[in-house]
Amino acid sequence: MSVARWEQVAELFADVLELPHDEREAFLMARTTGDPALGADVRRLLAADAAAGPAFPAPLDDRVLRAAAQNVDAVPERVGPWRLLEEIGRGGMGRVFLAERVDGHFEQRAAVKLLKRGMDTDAIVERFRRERQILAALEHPNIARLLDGGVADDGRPFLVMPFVDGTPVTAFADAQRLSIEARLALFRTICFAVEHAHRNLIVHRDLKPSNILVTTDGRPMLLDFGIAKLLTADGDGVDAPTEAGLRMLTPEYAAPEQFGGGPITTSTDVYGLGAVLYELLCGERPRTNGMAPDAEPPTLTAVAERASAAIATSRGTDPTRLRRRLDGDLETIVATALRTEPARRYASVGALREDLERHTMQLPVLARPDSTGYRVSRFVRRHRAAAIAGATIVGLVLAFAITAGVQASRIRRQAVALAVERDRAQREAAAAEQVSNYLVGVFELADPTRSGLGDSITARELLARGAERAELDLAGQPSLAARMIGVIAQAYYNLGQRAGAERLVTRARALHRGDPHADPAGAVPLLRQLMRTQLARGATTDAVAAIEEGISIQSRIDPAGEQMVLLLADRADAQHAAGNRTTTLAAVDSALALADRLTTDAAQSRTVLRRLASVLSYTDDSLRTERVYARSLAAEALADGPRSVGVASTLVGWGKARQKLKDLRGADSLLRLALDIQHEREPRSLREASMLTDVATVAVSQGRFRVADSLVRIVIDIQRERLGEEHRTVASSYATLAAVLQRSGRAAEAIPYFERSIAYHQRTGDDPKYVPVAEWRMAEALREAGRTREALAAFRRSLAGHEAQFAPEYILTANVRRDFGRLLQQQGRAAEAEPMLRRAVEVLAKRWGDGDARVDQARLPLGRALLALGRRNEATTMLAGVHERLTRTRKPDDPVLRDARAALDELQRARAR
Amino acid sequence: MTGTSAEGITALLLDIDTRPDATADVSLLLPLVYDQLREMARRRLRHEVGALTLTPTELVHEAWLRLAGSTSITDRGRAYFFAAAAQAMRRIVVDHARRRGRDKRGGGLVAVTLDDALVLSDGGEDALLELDEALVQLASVAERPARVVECRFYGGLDIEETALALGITTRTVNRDWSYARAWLYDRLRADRTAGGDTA
Repeated sequence: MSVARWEQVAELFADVLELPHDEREAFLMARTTGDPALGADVRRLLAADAAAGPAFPAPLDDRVLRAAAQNVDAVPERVGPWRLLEEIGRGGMGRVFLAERVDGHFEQRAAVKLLKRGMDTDAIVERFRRERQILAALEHPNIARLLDGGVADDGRPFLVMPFVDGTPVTAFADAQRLSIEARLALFRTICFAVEHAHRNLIVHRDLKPSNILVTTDGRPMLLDFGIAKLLTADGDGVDAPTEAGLRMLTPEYAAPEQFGGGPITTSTDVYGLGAVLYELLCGERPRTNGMAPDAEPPTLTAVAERASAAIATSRGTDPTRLRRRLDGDLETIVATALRTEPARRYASVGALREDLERHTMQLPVLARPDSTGYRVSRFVRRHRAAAIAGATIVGLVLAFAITAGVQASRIRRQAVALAVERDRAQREAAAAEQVSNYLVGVFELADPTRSGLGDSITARELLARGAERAELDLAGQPSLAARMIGVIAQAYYNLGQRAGAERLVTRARALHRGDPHADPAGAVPLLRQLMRTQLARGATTDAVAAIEEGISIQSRIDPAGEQMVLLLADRADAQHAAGNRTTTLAAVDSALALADRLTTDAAQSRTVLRRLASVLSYTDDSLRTERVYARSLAAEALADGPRSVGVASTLVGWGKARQKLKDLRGADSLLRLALDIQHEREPRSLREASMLTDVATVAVSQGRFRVADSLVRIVIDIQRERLGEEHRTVASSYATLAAVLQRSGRAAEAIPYFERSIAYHQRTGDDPKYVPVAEWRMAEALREAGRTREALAAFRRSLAGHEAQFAPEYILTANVRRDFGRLLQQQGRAAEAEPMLRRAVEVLAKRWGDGDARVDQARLPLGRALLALGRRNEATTMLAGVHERLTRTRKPDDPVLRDARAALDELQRARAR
Repeated sequence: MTGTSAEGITALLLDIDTRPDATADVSLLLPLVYDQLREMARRRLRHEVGALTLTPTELVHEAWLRLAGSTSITDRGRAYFFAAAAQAMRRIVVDHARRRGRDKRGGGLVAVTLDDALVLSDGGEDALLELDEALVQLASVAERPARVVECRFYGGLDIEETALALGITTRTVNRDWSYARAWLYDRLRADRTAGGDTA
């Protein structure tokens, strides 16, 4: 049927209606002969028409409209189980209220979004019902998920989400005067949250600063995830927006495809994030209202060019620096995120975040054609001369790796290894059975049904029981038991259980010694292990004894082999720890000399080269250090390839060596090369975090605090991801960040990080010595930030802690007294300051010598305190002495000397009065 | 009338004018027009001097004049606006009626005679709701006549404006109007009888 039934009825009805009354019936009869039902329908309508009369429907009454206009916007007291408390926001889709649950089932405050009238209630509620499962699954610490939704009594749809007490991210960043680095760090956290949602196949669609609030403790929270889709997606929930979606848009942040009705994908959020980042960085929105959707926004530098001083100030910088900072990578990254065509943007939010991280790590960013030329040009631009050295090294290593001779030696080495392996296999065939039985026994312990330990057995318990059983199960083979226990001891050591490790190694050594059939060579690794654990607790005499015993055993077995080189290197470690410089250097020399005489294969042993490189750090011999590192690098590259983790860790060692030799630029270049490899191999690994810390340390020595700041923030990010918040390593990275901030003159920002780090140690108590030292540094930061009262309290706590934890003459305690005393004196509390400073001077003089400048730095405030106490003669003698000594040793414009002069002037004025 | 909604409406109308291939989805414009009409109605009430009446026709046309005064919107945009305005007025009225109806709930439904369905005076909110429900039913069988009622009854548009808004001829408007009127009256009468039986 081509014409709908209603149209037939309507057609006929309208025709009939145009006829005079007396002609209607005949006409109808004629037209409906074959379809009596049609006739009945039309007759029914005709009757209704007659009954209705011309006044139906009467026009809308004035009073109705008045009433409607007046009460249409009234707020219901409650919606669903939520009582509305106060309006907290108003936006494109409606009004937002603070609300609490009426049923009081649980304390919960929420934000209730009461949608505008005029929105399609039924469709929204239906979509909510459908999407609810998905949205409820979106659990993430930085996402405020949808809690509830429904229809209010007055017919308006509402949505409920947790109430977030926060400030839009851009406003927060400005109010806190966050630097570009801190902004990038904050933005990274936001990216992670969006990535999480994307993994759950939820696209936000409406990312903008007002949907990203930052709470007072600095946590960003994303609001309205998936809400845009609830309100705009078409009926079948397919990711294609109806044009109704348009009205929800915030034009300044919406992606071009959202205007044109293109498909909405995760790429839409990449754009939204790009827009937020744009504003965070330069202070303006990428698009102004009315700009064409597909117009490219002005570049960051173009905006920064005309940026006001206020915008720069709120980023802790000035306009020139800001423009320079945004030029290059950041501009490119933001532009890539904001490209009109989704396909040309970053493929994912993760890719955007990664590129920002690469930028922060000063690795080449991917946000432009990743040509080798660009990488090289960037590297050279950043590192200039040092980069050439780095490139040369890599080139040499590669050349080395492909020489035929090396290939041959590798084959030879493999053949030897096979023969050794075969012998060993025969020798230990008997032992193998016993060992495997033992291992089965240990792992049965982990089986709750067998061990009777429940399912809570930890790695540590397993190790402890493994050690016990090794002695029982391998009772007939004490030297084998010793080896097993040695392995377990190593695991203890790696877990940071130093005391346990030492106890086990000692036991292993005793077992081995007690076995008349034991291979004497088996004692050497145990002794080396023992020495390491003893060094860790500072027992240098024991360590020296252990390693000397090892050397004497080894010299009877094979005095000129690889193992001996390692032992000599250990001797250098032990002697260095014991503070014997001459013996240390002698040990290093003998290790190197012996290594030079090793066979080619052994000389290329990675273990040997690593140990040699490490002990060379006790010398200032840059030539030999460089040579060993070059060989070590070649060995690593040969074994696992030129961009292996081994190469990276060698580069780290080399970089640190350069740092020690004060070649900071070289160090930076090598460390960054290492980082580049590590990042490629294991992105976001703990090892990468540790390399980043190394790069940051160099940056601090170079005075590049901005770089250090952002690197440490990434370090913390990675460590938190891998280790969780409650971890010693994270706590110490917080302290590092605090130190970086303090050194760059941002004491106020440093304080919260000191606090976090201290709080961790107070909670766990695993390093009681840490807290007083950290509190001293925090006290300094508090003082610099002008928070004097808190600074005094922190000094007091620190001093009490020092007195409890350290020996009375401990040098750092003297430093605490010096700084505490100085602050007390500056605060006019000379009577308290005087004895404290006097004690500091006493200890410092004993340590550094009476005339040392470090002592005079404590005498200065002491002199002032004496002056304030009216003891002018003492003050005069002290300050004149300080001034006289400093004049001899310092340049005229030295700040300490100037301070001494100022103190003398104060004295003169006091005398003149 | 808030500045933003007026700007938004103008932008959307200009957009639909310049993109002949774009579909004029009324739901896009609806919330903006809704806000605008409601604000205008309120403003009128606030500045009310004497017996100033409030009718859909006045409201919708005043809103239109404000928009069209400053820009050159063509008939296409005008049709789009009228269609949205009629729907917005319908929602304003129905939302209000629904609210009133709920307020009265609990006190029992006020008895309404059939005549009340025809004269929508104070207390006629239930009748308004019934009419709206009937209109929803009509739309499910005969979409176009229902739209005609929306334009004429709620939007206060005349025959020609309705034809423009819906893109049909005035003759069709007239014939659809007659049909819808009869259909609705018939439906309301049937419901009323059924309701009376059970009461």
